Amino acid sequence: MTRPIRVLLVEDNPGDADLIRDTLDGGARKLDMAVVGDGAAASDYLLRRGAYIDAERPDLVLLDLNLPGVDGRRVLAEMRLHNDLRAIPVVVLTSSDAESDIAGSYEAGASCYVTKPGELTAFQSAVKSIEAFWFKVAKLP
Amino acid sequence: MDWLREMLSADGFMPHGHCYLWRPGVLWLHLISDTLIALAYATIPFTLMHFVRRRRDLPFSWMFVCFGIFIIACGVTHVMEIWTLWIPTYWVAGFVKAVTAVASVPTAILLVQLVPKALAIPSVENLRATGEAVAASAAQFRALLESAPDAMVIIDARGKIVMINAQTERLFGYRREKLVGHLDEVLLPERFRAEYPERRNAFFAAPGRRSIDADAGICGRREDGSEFPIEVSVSPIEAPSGLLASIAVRDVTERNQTQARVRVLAIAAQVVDAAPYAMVMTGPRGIIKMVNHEAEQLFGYSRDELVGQPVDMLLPERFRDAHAGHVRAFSSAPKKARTMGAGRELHGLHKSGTEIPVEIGLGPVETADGLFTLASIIDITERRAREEALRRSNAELEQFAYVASHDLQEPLRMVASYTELLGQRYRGKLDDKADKYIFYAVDGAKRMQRLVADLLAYSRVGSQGKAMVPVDCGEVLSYVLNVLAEPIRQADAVVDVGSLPIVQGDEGQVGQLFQNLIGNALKFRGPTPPRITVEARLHRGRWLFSVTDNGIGIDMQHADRIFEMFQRLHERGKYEGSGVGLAIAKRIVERHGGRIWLESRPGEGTTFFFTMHSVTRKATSS
Repeated sequence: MTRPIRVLLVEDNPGDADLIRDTLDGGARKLDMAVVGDGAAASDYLLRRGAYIDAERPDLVLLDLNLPGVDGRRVLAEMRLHNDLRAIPVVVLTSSDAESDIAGSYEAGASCYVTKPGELTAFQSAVKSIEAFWFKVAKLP
Repeated sequence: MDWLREMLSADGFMPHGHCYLWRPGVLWLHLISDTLIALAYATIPFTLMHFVRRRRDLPFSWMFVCFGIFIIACGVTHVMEIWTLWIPTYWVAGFVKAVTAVASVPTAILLVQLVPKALAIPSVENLRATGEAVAASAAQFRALLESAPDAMVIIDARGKIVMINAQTERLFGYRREKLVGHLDEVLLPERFRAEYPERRNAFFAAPGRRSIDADAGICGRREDGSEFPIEVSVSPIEAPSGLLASIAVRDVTERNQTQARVRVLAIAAQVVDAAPYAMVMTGPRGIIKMVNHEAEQLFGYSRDELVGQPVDMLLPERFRDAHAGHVRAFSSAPKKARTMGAGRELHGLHKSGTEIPVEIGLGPVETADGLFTLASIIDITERRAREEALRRSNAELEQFAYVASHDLQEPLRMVASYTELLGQRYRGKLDDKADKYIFYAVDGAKRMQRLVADLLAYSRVGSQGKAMVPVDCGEVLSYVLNVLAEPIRQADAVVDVGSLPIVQGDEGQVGQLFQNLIGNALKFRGPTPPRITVEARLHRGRWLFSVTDNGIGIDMQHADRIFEMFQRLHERGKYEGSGVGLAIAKRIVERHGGRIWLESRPGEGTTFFFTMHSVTRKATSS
């Protein structure tokens, strides 16, 4: 498999986006990461609409829940309703640790749920763990 | 002296017997007759004297004295008649006769003068007739006296009771003979007695009808010493024996009570009308009997529109059927006041058709016309609104705390992460000062993160709480001790756990409570290894938990402060933490309907106590 792993990061916070990109870049495998800042853009990207007409179907989606406009919960729900997108694993990566968000996300079909740790090193290791599991351990469709 | 001797001498005279030629027959006749007359005359004055002395009321008693003297004198003349039969002291006999004459003539004259007066003395017949008339009038007077509704006491000018009626006996509890002939003061309490004779004298000095009404506060006194309020009226009576006073005494106890009751009723009516909440009284069949001013205001009807109407008119239609049943239940239930429809929303119906949320208290009122029901109705529209506002405000505040801390976390994480990233990537590449600045920034951001996290945890006790279920405290505590295993080991602490019960609670929060208290004990440990004891016992139907340590203790003046948010008693750096642990503990206990407090001695240790609702007791041990 020579093709790089394609990841769509849905994250409105550029600081987090940079941190995540920075951390994931350190991985062994070639990574092709796209970043969108809100739910509407995420939908457009996934459905290849508007500015994202040439976008590639991602292998994995890292999804923040609290987004401006259309939020991550809606994006997840839409993905699970859409035949082409239903199979894409979605890792919810959010600062929320509310029980309702956790349970709601899994019910909506999230593949896993990770709360962003407050501490930098913990955050970095959480992202590393995601990378290690989804890019190395897990088999992606 | 010769003259006197001459007088007493019999010389020169012949004894009177000589005149009778000393014939025994005529001598004896005179002797016996004179003796008998003298003896008889000697006894008559004694009899008269005795009679006069016994009949003090006798008119003309001096006449009897005169008669007595006259008869004695006559008797003595007869004695002299016997004496002169043999001894002819005719001078002495003549003097005695003269004395008798002196006694006789005035007596005769006086007797003549007495005849018209004596004739005026009623004859026995007359007297009987008069006596009967007097008796009749006395009987009438007595009947009159007895028919009087009041106790009647007739006194003379010296205050002596002449007559009383049966009412007096009844009212004062005395028997007639204990009053008649005694002073009337006995009918007064002692405190009135001193000034009373003066008043009585004033009455007899200026007789006339007088009364003392009940307001004067005078009292009668019964034989047993008890007192009762009276009203008195006094009238003079002209009697043959002199001026009397008739005193009518009326017991006003009952009237006073009635008046007091009437006054109380009047006040009660005013109170009811002025009551700040609506009152509606209904009869046994739910007919409105009375409403107060506030009820008129609340329901928008006038008094006239309500009284006599069924109370159902004040109820929204949907409650009317059920209400009839409640009315029956209330009428047959134990007769005591209660709150109506506990736990249910009650509504009244305004004249305009709008419904008014109300709270109603019901009280039974026993009346002569049956069991009435008094309903006190409080319009709780405003209270509802206030409660709702408070609830909303609390919820908003919690939401605010939650959202604020949540939303604060995001940018804060950026500050913390990137300053730390700066530290990671650029330590040693800039100068020493830069390293120090970066350290301060990272430290500040981390502390801020900690505070925000604690604030979030605190707000979550209210906003994220779970339902109350039976929680086995023993199990929860062993879980907590597992979580705290590392700090316990590091502190070389021993935790003794007694038998812990099952309580009604939120399992996660009960765990957090134990964790915070034990964590606190570990944190504020003294120089010796911590020894922590967790126990529980039943106290007044609740579980009283205690967490005791041998730590540094706390000055009791700070006992309340340490349960407040972010209150720290020690300078930063000495003990870790933001000071939210006990605030959260308090919030958890309060959410569980309990109370938390502590007892402590600086340098010896602290015991935290808290209470929880019990479910059952289950023995567990560590």
